[in-house]
Amino acid sequence: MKIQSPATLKETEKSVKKIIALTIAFLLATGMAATGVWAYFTDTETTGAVITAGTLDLVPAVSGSGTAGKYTVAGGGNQANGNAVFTKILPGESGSITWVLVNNGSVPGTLTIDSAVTFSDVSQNIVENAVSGNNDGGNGDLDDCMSIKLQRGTGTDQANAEANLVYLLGSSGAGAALSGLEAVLNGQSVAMTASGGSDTVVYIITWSVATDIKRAGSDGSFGTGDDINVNENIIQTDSAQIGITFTLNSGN
Amino acid sequence: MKKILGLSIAAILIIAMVGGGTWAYFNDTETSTGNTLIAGTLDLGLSNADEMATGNTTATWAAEGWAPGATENGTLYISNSGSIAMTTLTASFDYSAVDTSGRPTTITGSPWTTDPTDLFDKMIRTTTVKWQGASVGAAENKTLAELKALGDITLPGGLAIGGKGPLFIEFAFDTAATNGCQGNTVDVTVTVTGTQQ
Repeated sequence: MKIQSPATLKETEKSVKKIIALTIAFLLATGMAATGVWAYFTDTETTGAVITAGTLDLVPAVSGSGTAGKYTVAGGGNQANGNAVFTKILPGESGSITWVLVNNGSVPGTLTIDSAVTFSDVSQNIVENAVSGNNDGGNGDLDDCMSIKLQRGTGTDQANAEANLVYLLGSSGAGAALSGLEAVLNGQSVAMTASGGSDTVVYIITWSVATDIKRAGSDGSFGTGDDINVNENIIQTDSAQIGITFTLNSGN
Repeated sequence: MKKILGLSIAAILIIAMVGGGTWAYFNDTETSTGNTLIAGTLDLGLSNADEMATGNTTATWAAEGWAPGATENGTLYISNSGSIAMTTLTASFDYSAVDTSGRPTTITGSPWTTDPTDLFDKMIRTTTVKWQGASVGAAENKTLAELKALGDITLPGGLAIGGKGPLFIEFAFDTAATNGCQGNTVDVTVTVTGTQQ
């Protein structure tokens, strides 16, 4: 091993530093000069994040059927109330109300119902008053004497939904008392897909008043053996109102 | 450092749980109110005056001191105060047992004393029956007994909503009546029925 004097070592250290500095300078110089002519393979792509909120758009439509000249229908629509009004109902008559609900939005949701079915008998006439048991419960007698069937179907459109109808109240053979409608409606919770899928729900209420009017028995259904015979005049001046709020919620 | 991170996560979770009740999902609400079902009314009224009425009336025909050959007429106004047309309108007649308590005691031996419902009711008959001006042939020239036996007699045309019409009837005391009819009384009830069909 060669032993150098301190002075020589210092000189050597200077030389090394100089060499390093020159090397770095060279590399930098050559790098900068070469930038203009060197060609790497390159490919450039861009990406973006477009965030769009979904839409939830429930569109209802109302239709109805009944005795000609004795009912009116307001079809309603988006944020427009629709309803059906039946007047001068007689024993032996029937009718129906159909609600078609479509989710025109881009996200699915759950359809729920908040309903109120109310009854009134505020202007009783002599004929009605003469009937034994008239106005049972103080709100008229349509609640027990009018037969109701409630059906629901889900599908890709109205026709498809109506092909899938199932009875929620009553059956194909017999109806239930109108008094039971509100509870069944308020228990509804139905999945609706986004537009383009099973985005349509149909509800159909079919009402009827028998020619030989009876009061539904304690089971709330007609034709089950416990119906109670009443005079047909018992429903005169009676009325019922059905109010329904449909809500389609993405979070449920 | 780990402790701070853990507490932060816990705080976030708690806030999330508490805040859960106030989160708003997308929702759309539509209403269908005013769906109404109203039963019709069929309210027939009778009156001795030319007016709309509800309920019954009395004494449309009230003959006193009748003698054979006398007549008594009156008009019963029938009205429909309901919301439904009466497609069918009928009238039926009934009467009480003949009250013979007013018969003079000098009248004896009459065949009717043993059967008070007999014959006096056959001595009273209709001459003219008109509903809204048109003759009701089925009810004309009929004794009380025959009218009762007919049951429901159709008054043609029914009665429209808010409609009103006169039922004119003239009764006559048969000239064939004998002294056995003196002092006799009979109450006649006319029942009018309107039906939707």
